[in-house]
Amino acid sequence: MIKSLRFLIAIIAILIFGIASGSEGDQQKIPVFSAHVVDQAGWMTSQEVLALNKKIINIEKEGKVRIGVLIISTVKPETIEQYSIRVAEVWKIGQKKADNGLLFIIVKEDRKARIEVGYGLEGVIPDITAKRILSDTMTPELKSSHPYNALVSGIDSAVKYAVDEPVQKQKTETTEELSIPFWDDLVTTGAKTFVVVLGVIGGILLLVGGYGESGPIFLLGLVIPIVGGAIIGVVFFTTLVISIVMASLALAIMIALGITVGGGGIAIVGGAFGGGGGSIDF
Amino acid sequence: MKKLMIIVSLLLLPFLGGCGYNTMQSGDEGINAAWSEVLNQYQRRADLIPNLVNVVKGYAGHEKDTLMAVTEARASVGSIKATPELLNDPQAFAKFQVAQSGMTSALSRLMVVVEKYPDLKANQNFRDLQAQLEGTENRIAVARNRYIKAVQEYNVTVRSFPSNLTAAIFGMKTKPNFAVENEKAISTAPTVDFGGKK
Repeated sequence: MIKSLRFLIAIIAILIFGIASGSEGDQQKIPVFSAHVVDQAGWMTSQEVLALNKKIINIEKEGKVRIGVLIISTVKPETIEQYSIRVAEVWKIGQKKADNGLLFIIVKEDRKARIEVGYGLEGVIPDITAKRILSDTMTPELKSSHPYNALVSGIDSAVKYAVDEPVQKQKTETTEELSIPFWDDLVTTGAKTFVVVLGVIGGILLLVGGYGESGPIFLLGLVIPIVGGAIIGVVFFTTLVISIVMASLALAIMIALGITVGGGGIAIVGGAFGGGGGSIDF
Repeated sequence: MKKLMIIVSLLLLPFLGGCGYNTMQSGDEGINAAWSEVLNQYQRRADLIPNLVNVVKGYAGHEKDTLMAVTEARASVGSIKATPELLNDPQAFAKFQVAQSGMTSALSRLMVVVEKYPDLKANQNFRDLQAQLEGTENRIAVARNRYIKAVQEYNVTVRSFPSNLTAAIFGMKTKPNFAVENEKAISTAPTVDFGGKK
C-alpha cells in the first residue's frame, strides 16, 4: 500500500514538475563565501588575509557597508564583468534592504581587477568613483604585485566615499542573514514547493518527536526530508540530489529551531547588485 | 481507509501548485520588473551621449561622420516609445532591438576612432564619461541577462504540460526575448567605414 502510494506520488510529481534546465559550460566555479577575504589564487600571505579579514570586520561594525574580497587566478572564458556579477549574485554581500555590498575582485593571471558595487551604494560610489579607486589607488600596488596594499588602500578609499553620505540602514537589525547557496540550484519552483512540503513535515515530526520524547517520530522527521528529497532528486535532477536533500533537511532543522528559539527571522537573501562598478587592467 | 484518503488528499494539495497559474503570474511580474530595468539602463546610456559627443568634438572635430552616426542613433532610439507595452507587440519590440543595437554599434565605432587621439584619451572629462559608458554598458548587459532568464523561465512554464493548459485557459502567451545575449558581440567593428550613407 505504501509502496504504490509512493509510486503514485512520484508519477504525479513527474507530470507536474518540469525538468530543470541550465548548464554551466566550462565557466570558472564560484568559490564558497567562507570568509570576507577569499584568496583562491594564494596571492597574499595568510597573515595578510587574516589582517584584511579583521579590517573588514571592523569596518562592517560601523554598519554602512559590507565587503567581500575574492582573489582568483583566472576567469576565462568569461570577462571579469561576467564572472563578477555571478559571484555577487551568489555571495549576496550586503544587507537585504540596504543592498550595501562591495565586491573587490582581483584576477591574478588575467591581470584584471574590478569593484562590483551594490544597488544601495551606487549613489555614493558611482562608476566614475569605482574606476578612480581602481586606477588611482589600487593599480600601482597591483602592478608591483602587492595585492594586500592595493586592497587596503582601495577599501579605505571606498569606505570614505560610502560614509560621506548616510546609507539606509536596515530597519530590523535582529534579522540574521543566512545564505543557503544550494537553494538557488532548485531551478524550478515545483522542486521548491516539494522541498517546503518535505521540510514542513520533517520539521513538525522533529518537534513532535523531540518534545514527545519519541525516538521513532523524531527519526521520521529526519528520514522523510532525506528520503523524499532523494526520490525527487533521483527522479529528475541527478546533479541536484544533494542540493534537494540538504535543502529539505536544512529547512526542517531551521523550522524546528525557529519555532523553539521563538522568533527572529532567518532571511535567506542578502544584498543585490545591478552591474555597477568599474574594472581595470593592471 | 477514509482517513488514509484524507491524508493523501491533503498531501497532494500542494501539488495543485503545479497547475502553474501562480507561477505564471509571478513570472509575468518578474518579467515586467526585469524589462523596466532594461529600459532604465538603455535610457541611462542615451542620456550620456550628448556630453560624450561634445567632449569628443573638442578634440576630434574632423570625425564628423562618426559623431553624426552616434547622434543619429540616439535620435532613432529616442523616437521609439520605450514602455512596458513593447513586450506585447513583437514588431515594436523588434524595432526597439534594432535601434538599440544601432546605438551600440555607433558607440563602438566612436571608441575605435577615439584611439587615434591621445589628448582626448587623456582628458579627465572623457575618461569619466568613458567610465560611465562602460558601467552603463555593463548594467545593460546584466539587465538583459536577467530579463532573458525571466522570460525563459516564464516561457518554459507556459509551454510545459500541464501548465500550458492553464496558460491556454487564461490566454497567457510566451513573451518575446532578445535575439542575442550580448549586443557587443555582434556590434564590434574593427574597421571604420566612412563610405556610403545607409
